[in-house]
Amino acid sequence: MQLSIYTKTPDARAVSYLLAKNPNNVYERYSKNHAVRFVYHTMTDDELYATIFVTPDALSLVNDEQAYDITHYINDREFAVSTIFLSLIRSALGTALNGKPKEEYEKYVSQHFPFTFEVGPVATSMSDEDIRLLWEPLGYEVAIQGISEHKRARFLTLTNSITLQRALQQLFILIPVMDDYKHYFIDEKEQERLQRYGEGWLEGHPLRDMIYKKALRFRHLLDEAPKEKRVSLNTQRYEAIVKQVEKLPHRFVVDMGAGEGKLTEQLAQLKTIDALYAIDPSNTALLKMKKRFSETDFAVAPTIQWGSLYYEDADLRDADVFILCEVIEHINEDRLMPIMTLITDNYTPKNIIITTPNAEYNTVYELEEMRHDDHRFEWTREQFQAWCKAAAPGYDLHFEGIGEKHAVFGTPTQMCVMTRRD
Amino acid sequence: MQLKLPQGAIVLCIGPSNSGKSTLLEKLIAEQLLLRSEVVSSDTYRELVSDIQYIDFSTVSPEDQDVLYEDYQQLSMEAFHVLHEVVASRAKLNKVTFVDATHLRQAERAKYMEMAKKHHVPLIALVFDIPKEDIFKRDEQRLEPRGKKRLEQQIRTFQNELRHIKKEPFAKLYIWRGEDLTIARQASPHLLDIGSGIDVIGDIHGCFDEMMALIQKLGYEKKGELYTHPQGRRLLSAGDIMSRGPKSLETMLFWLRQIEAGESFMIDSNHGWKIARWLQGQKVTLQHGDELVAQEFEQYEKEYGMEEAEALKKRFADMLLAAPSHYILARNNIRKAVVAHAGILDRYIGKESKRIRDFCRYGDVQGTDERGKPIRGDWFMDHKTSELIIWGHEPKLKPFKANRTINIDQGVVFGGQLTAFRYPEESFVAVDAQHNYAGDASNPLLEAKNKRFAPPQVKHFINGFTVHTAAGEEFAIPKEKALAAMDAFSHHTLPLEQVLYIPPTMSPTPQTSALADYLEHPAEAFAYYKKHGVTQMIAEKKHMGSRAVIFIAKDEQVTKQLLNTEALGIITTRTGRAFFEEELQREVLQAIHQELLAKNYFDRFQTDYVLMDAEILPWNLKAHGLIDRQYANVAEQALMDRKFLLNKLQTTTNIDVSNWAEEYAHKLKNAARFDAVYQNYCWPTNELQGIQIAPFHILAHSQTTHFDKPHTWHMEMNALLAEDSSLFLATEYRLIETEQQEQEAITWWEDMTELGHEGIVIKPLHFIEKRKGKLLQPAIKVRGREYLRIIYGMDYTDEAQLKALKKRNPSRKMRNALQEFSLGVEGIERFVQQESSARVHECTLAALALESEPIDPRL
Repeated sequence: MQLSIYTKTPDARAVSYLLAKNPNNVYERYSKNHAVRFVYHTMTDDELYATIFVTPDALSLVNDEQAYDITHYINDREFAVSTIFLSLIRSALGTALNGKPKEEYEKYVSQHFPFTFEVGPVATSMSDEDIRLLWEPLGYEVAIQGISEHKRARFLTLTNSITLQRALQQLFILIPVMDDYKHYFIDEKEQERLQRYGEGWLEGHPLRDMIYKKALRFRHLLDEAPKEKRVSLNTQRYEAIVKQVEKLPHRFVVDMGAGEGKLTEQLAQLKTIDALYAIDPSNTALLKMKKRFSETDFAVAPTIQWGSLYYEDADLRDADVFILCEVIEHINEDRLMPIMTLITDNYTPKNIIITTPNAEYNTVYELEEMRHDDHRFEWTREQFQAWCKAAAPGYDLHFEGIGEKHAVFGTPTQMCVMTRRD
Repeated sequence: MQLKLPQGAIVLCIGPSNSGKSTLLEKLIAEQLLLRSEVVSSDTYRELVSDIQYIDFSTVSPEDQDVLYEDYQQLSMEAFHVLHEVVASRAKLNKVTFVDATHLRQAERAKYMEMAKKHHVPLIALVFDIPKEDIFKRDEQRLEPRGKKRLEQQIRTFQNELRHIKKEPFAKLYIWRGEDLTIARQASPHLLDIGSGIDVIGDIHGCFDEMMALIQKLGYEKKGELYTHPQGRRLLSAGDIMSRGPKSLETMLFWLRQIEAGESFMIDSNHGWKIARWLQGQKVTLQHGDELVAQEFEQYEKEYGMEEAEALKKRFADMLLAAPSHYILARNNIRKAVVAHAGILDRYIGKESKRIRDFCRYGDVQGTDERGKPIRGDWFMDHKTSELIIWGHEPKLKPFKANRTINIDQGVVFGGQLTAFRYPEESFVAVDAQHNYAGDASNPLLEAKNKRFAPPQVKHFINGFTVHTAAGEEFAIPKEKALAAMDAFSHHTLPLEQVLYIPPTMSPTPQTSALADYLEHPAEAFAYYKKHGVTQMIAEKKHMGSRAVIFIAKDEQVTKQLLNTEALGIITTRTGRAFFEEELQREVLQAIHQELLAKNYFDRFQTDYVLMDAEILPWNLKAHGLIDRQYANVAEQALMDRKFLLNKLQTTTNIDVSNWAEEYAHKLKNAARFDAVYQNYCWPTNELQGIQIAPFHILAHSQTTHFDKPHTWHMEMNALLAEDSSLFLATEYRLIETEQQEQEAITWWEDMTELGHEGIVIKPLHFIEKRKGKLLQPAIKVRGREYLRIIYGMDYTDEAQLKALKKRNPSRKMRNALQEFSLGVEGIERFVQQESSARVHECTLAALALESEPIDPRL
């Protein structure tokens, strides 16, 4: 990780004072076992060529306590320019960044110099074009170098007539924007620094939003695109299910695949339920559910329990209503039948409620793919109805749509209420 | 009079003071008929707890008498408290104990009645019925006479109690009137010397033809009426020889002749006991196939007349009633194995009581279900002692091993097999049923088959669980790890019935290299095995690809039947996920299948499938994302950073930075080495083209696992598969028995790793190697110096880093390697024995749970 500064100017020595580094010495400081080094390759009256670089200590870069896989140990953080690099060189370049040299050189702070900065390696998923769009609006001429056809590592040569302080501030903001790696947490102080470094140029940058988003990762600073449709469909789905449950006998209700417990939370408002089970196979979901429930008052406190449709749990037998809300589409089709057999033959609930997306409606959403990465399938109404008939031969079926109805494509969600014939 | 003594018993002496109890016992001790330790006397214990044997009340005033009497009461109470503890402990250990006290009161005797019942030993009464005069005479000769008045009272009590005593349920009651008394020690009815070997036959249920076929298969020959074995082996029936099946009578006749001649043996069983009582003419309900026995007898009576039938019935009844609840197979009187029809608890072994007989007949019955069928407890989970317990009663598809117990009832009458278990060889011989005699209704074998893929019970795992292996080891999985693994099995893996094996993790050398420049070196692996006394090792080249478990069947039906999926097989990763996308998996399986067919593999090894542990190459096939993101990217970033910096440092004119330049020249070299090494494991593939499979363990065929074979066998199988193959890759290996061979292996390792190969794996020659009952590491990997750059970083060979890295501690990794290995072996054994997928899953879930533990991934 390196940053070189080149300028050919009659005031070359003044720049060295702005940098506050003595050209006659090499600079070497250790920070967290990493060596921060500064060297003038060339220093004449009219030419300056200097590099600040970090020789990191590989073992100090990793936190053994959090290491679960090999990627933790083998990664490009040791080499690529990143927030790690910037935080290590910040104090060495403090004088230049803050524009606070010795008094006699203050006049050079605002002076433009014909600078060439060489910075890299940059590890980024951005295209060369994207990189240019980042720098060119600021007046830089951009050259991008790689050492292989893949250009996994790129080296930037940025030429501009600009003040040293402004250039460094831009580098300090835009290097993390280009860098792929997002592990490094930027705290409130960093945010404040961003405002300061960005003053006078960032507001007018055509990619301002993208820069904020990537540099800050404080999503709340930006207006997130509202997901109105999905939120309201969720609510409608929960309401529709609760309405069905109310109509059915419902002393004992199982919410299978309860996720974070949003539906369970609604169901738990029904005072007429005696026992409500919120079941999910994901330990992370169960933790979130526990947290959510701990902040809620319930008519009936739900029982949170680990459970999966691939295991049998005698506790789930003989429910009045057994709910699979947006669950089946996450299961490979060939595994659905044994699961339904487990439910209908072993758990023998009086009623089963199943909801799943209606694939036809995707046309309304202008979706070409499925609605979620993990969906194994999305069915048309005809497919869903045929499947329900085959899956629960001992049950009477009642189908209903949930959400805004389209004349041709139906509703976004389809629901089947199955009632056991006794 | 002769007193018969079983192995363990409580013998209660009953009689007033001075009736000669102590005298008689002393005499028996002197005659060496009893051990001194077999007699406990209340007088002794009074003295032990209070220094006093007897208090004389007669010489003190009435007021003082009260005080003394209270003292006496108290010390007697303490004495009896200790005495009872001693008698109970002896009963628990199945010892004989004579209790020398008066035992005139019913309550005193009841206490022993309870104790004997609790510890399953008989309670024997030895009543001293002695004329009054003799008692008085004896008292006068005593040092501290009890006095006539007190004796009169005791004698009166005795006379009154005597008629009650005679009615109390003692196992045996002897009344001694002063005659000569001898003791006959009875041999244990349970002990059976192993001799030249015992063949235990599972539940026959009147399947006479299958039984005869099996007995001949075992090598027994007909000599006159009897079947004997040329090597002197003997037959032992695990019970239930009759009922349900077609030829109960013939079967019973066979065993009657064998047993009466002392050639063969039989234990008690549920059907045996029922039929025995019926034969005796007791009122019993004949059902569950017992009625067929009655029908056969009717026929017999018609043919041979009532007299003959009755005579035969009596002989049968005698045979069945004489059958002990269980047999202990012993060598030099050391217990080796136990045969009990429906199982036995450790504390019952060697004893006999109603409760024990019932347990051995019916097993651990904990109630009945809604259909009236018994709910059976898993008694074998409590088996802790080292005898192998052989049992039947519950038909299982294949011999079922759990926790040093083996079930050998393979339901011949239900269309299964009749199994013989040969001891001490611990091998099986079986004969298929000619018919399903019992039909399909409530057929336990069909039920087991239908339930093979039933989902496992959440409750069994959710709070943590313990896997009990066939060999009796236990692996406890704590709750959090169990949940993590169940989460994985609910989201990421293939359906759990298709995951047969989670390959165990492998440890690097326990110690890092003693050589300055190396982190790992073969010397430390050799040292580990030699330290534990292993003299034969094998070194196998380690291929750098991705671990895979390959199940491939003769045809799709086999996979359907065993794994519940329609395919030629399944290929899983080391975490139970699908190795390939569906389409590519089909192609790979097809290709493997064709090669196996071309080699006539399935016929040649008489198997329906093969399960192998393999490495699939190239590395980029599975890991392309990782390689691109990590290795290619890191290499390029490093090369660029170091190359550019070096260039700048070398051309610096302003100041001398030659030391930095040197440092970066060295670093650039490391980066170039790193860049070179990972590329060794990558090459382009196009569908099947370029894919290579290196199998290193042939884990199982349909009839057997191969953990008993040395690694040389597995390598020969590897060579067989690789021969003329476009898919299978041969693995180089070396056998190591001498120091010279060690040196050669080290040179071999150095040469190959210098070229960038990953390294070698060193294993003991035998698949399962134990020392002092403890498993040794089944394999130790020794990775090359260059290869390790992609694990520890490109600069790890630099002095400071290497020094720090040499402090690594692989002990947790080693522990997991052992546990996961044992779980892997157990799971595959269960699969081969056609146990339910839930039982196999217990092992894979446990192994995956262990893998959820965060351990340094660089090890």
